[in-house]
Amino acid sequence: MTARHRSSYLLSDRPAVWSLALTGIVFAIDLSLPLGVAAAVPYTFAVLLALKARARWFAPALAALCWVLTVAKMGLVPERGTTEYWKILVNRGLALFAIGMTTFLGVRRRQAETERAEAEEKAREHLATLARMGRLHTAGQLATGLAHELNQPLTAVCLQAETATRLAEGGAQVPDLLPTLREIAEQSHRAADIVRGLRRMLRQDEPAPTQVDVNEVVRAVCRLIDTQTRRAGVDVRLELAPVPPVRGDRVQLEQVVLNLLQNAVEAVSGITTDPRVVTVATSSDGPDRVTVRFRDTGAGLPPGDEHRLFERFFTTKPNGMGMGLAISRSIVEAHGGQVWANAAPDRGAVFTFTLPAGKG
Amino acid sequence: MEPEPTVFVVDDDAAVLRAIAGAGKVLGRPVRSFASAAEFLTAYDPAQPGCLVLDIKMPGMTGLELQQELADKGLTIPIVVVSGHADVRIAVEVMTRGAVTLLEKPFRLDELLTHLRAALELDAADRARAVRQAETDSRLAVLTPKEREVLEAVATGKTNKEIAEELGLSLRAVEDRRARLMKKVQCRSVAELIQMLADRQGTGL
Repeated sequence: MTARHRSSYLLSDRPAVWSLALTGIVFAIDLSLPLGVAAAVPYTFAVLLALKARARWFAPALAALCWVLTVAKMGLVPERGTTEYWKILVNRGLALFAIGMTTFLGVRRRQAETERAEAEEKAREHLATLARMGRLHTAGQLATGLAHELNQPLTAVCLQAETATRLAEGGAQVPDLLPTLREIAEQSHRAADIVRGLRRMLRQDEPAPTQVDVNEVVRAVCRLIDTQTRRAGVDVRLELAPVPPVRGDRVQLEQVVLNLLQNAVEAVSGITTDPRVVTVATSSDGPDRVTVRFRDTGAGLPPGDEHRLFERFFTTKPNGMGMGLAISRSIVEAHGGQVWANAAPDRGAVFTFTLPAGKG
Repeated sequence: MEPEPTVFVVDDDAAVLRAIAGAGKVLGRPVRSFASAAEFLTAYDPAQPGCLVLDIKMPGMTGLELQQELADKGLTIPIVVVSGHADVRIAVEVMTRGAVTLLEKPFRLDELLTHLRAALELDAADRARAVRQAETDSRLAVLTPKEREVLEAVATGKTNKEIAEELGLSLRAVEDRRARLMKKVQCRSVAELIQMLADRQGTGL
């Protein structure tokens, strides 16, 4: 970072500028008025202000400057009247002590805050890792089950093939071998069916259908991330209207709701101005469609990129994978529904998905 | 006529059951298949020589439970255990209960045949020994208590003179009894007698 960059960086940092200005004013007043120890008080204000600056080194540096100025005053302007020299020294010493203590306590507190933030970040990462491990675990269980399932037809095929070979070597005629050969073909198909079934399960293009109450799904997901939203200081409001059940895979629909809700909460927790509200509303447009809306008061959608939001690997987040919305869309579409995003009337974004209501 | 040694197969998977049955026929022995342990237990006649191919994981009674049940009933039919997922614990359990072997699915035909032959031989040997034992028991059963005393003394290698002193009998009386008992148990020499007794003791009776 060059000196020029650094100064422009500092100038863009309001607390830094204000604290420097305050220090200058206090020094001017200190030079012209016989305030004694009272001059130290505004210096501590300047240090407190400097603690809000982005650069960590700034507050200690400003405190050092204040110290220098406090000492310098003695040399530059003689105390008026008949104040004894030791009283001046004590006054200045107290001032230096006040500035020093303020800096020390302020820096320590800022350190503690940073550490807490880092710990929270670590906990979040840990949760994410757990979720990933969970998916891997499920995949592992599937693989174990698959291995066991495939073992039976494989055992049959191996034995039958070797038996047929042995019979043929012993001079058996083709008609005698036919039942064995048919058995081999049949068991091979059985193995193929098992593999096909697993692939279908992993591709998730055929959800295991049950009757799902969307309102119940929304409530469950809200409970799931309740801590997260409260910690982020986000107010999640539910506006759940009575809706007909939809036909689909409950776990997958929970995944969609979780995804969209988490996105909304993240969008809102990124802003500094109130209100920080996420509204989840369900409604039924006619008897055969259920709609779920996630409205947030966040920064809104990236202009010009609305249509790319649901593409794989497209992300606006620094640590995003760009998979959440893509997965959500594939799930919703597999359920015969649609998902889209648009800007909210005043500010923020609205994500909406609809599902066909289904009975039976 | 003695019934022919049979290969019994118990597996809940129909395809595996058919495959093992087909493989068993390569041996040239009759094969009987059962889809569950319970079916086998009701149909099995302990007098029927043979061996058993047994799957471990089955609904209802498992292979381990069937093995235990047979052991509890004192039935010594040799068992070849087959399993799709044998961990060490199960393997140890199966083997300590006296299985011939544990084959992990999928296994080779030759492996299965080798162990089936061994199992059938084992069963034949067991049955032959049981027959000899029964014969020995029936011969010993006709001895009087006094003859039995002499028999036990002879079996430990004592001379007639020692036996006479021990039992307080005349040498002549010991010789008489000894000749009688040798005739009853149909042994021509002491060596033959001891061989017969050792055979009997070998089975832990």
